[in-house]
Amino acid sequence: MQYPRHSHTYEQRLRSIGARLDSGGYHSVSIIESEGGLLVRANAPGARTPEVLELPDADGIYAAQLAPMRNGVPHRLFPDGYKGFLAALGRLLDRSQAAAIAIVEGTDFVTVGGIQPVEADGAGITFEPLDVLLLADDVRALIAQADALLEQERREAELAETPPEIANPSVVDTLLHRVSAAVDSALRMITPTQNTARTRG
Amino acid sequence: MSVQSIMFSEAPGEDAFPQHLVEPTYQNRLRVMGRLIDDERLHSITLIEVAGGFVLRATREADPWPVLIELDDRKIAKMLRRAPELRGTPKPYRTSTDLIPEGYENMLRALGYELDQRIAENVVVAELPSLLAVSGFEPVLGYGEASYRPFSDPLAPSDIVEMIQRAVNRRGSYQHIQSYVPPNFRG
Repeated sequence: MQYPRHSHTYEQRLRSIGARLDSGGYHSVSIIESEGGLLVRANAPGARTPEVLELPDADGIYAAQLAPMRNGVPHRLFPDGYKGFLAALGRLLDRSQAAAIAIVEGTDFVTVGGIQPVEADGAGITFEPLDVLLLADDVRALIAQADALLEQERREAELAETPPEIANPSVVDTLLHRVSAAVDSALRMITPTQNTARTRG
Repeated sequence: MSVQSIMFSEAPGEDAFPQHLVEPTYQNRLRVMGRLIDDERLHSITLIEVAGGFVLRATREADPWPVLIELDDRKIAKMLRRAPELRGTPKPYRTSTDLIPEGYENMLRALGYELDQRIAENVVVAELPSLLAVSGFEPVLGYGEASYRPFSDPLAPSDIVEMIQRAVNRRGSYQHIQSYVPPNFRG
């Protein structure tokens, strides 16, 4: 049974959820994915009974929530709040093409479950469990790793927008050499004609 | 909300309906859910308590995509009523791993007892390959009304073996069970 593919990335969806959690001051968060979307359980400040927030996989909901987002609220486990942590986690989950995720927050750890595709020898792609326990240090390392990944992706995107001959210096040199040779050749061809024209004039 | 809702059940006699098995304690509720997990050959569970029941996320044999099973209070109550019939019947399958040595029913029943003892509520159980992360809320008793604080216990395989051993030691010396009954189950 495979879950339907969502049009938004985990980074987008989890950042959106994180912003909502931060703005409401929620804590003790659990998030599990079903075929229909992400189910979020969290406690509001001072409330003993957790709230359940079911977020259906409708494009508009996430897009609307993505627009105005305040900065993350610092949390004992997440220095940048839920938004910062969940966005970073989502980025890494996207990169590993994870699916069917489950995130459970404890008082001093977070567990992350899911599945990820792996290439099996001669058997194509199979899915393997992705199970991680993150302590506070791991959370900080994860955020740093996700930031580094974002920076790398930015650089890759910039390079992709730059014409390839400029991106690679050796190509530029070769190109300049070719242009120079072509200009010389053209000049040699043009010069006698111009002389002829002058003579005729 | 008071946390002093302690019920005392009678020890079951030969012919008496084993009322203590159907009370909606964590011990009983987690036990019947564990039985379901064993019967359905599920593993790698995440069990989240929500208002009105539990959501169980688990993986089936030979299918890496997890399934989500909603177990509302009504469904759990039915399972509890069936529990006495099923007691002692052989199970077709029982997980046996370092973390779950004798199946989910045994492990979750033992865990449930300990959760009842600490008057826990709103629990989450997340299974990882090498530990079981148990979270929830427990009362902090002060001068006035109890306030609740979150707790988390990462249980290693050795902790689980000890927990099950404690449960085994309790068997055979049935005493009156102190059971915290959640508000939604009170009459």
